[in-house]
Amino acid sequence: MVAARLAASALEALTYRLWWWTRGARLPYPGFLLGLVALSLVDRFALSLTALAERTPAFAPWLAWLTGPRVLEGGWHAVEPGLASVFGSLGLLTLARVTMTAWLQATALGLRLAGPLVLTGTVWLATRVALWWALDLSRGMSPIG
Amino acid sequence: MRPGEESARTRGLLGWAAWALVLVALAALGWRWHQERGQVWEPPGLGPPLVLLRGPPADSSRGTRLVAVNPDCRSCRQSLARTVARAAGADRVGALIVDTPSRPGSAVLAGLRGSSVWWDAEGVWRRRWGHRIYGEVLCFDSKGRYVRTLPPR
Repeated sequence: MVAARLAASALEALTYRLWWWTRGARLPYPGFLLGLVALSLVDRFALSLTALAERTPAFAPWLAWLTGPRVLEGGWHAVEPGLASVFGSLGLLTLARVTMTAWLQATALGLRLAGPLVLTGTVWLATRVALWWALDLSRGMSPIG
Repeated sequence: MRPGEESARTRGLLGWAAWALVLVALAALGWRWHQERGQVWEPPGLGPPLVLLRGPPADSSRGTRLVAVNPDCRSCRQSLARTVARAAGADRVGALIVDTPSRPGSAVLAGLRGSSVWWDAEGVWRRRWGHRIYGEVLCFDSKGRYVRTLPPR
């Protein structure tokens, strides 16, 4: 699990580094990767809050702002399963994670936040849409838990 | 053209080519997803073309739960065992052997828990019903009519 997370962070860092390389800017890989690994703690925290909401459903409506609607019973689960699974984690913590990732790039490259923020948001959205489609294709009519 | 400009131009071209590849891959995935969404699948059914290999075909007093099992998949055999344990007599629980072109032998049947074992000889589970996840539980009522599918237990 830790190895998979590290590999995902390494791939994510490489994607941004390549993007900025093609734009003529040099994003320092080790420092940026370290930043991404540290930011993955935000994901870990979101998972812990999700587990807390499952154990204590009374907290779920409040925690949903942070963790995304996946912790809510009822209405959210009526949404298409693939869509719910992939976008169910869209909460304030995810937005913070995306913003911090953009901020790391902006700081390292001496840029304003807007450009890296658009890039990071687009990458996040594109990967989620790709995951949604891939999940739907792999499950067919089978339900997911 | 100076070397620095040439290098920047090459980088730019490489970048556009890489992102174009990503976009093409995403578009292909989206196209395949869109195609699949338009597909009309048959609802699962208990009976032919499924082949009953063990146990009674139906029980008018109880519903039936069939766990989709590939004999080579250990986790779906465990899912079957858990479903049998949880049913506790409420529904009959059996196995539906899927993605297995040749008729399963007695050794395979002996390794499967549950009161009945059906064999999807024609691959309808995947090709006509559109299902793909091993270990899922197909629920039928006491008359053998399809009710719903539950995710793997």
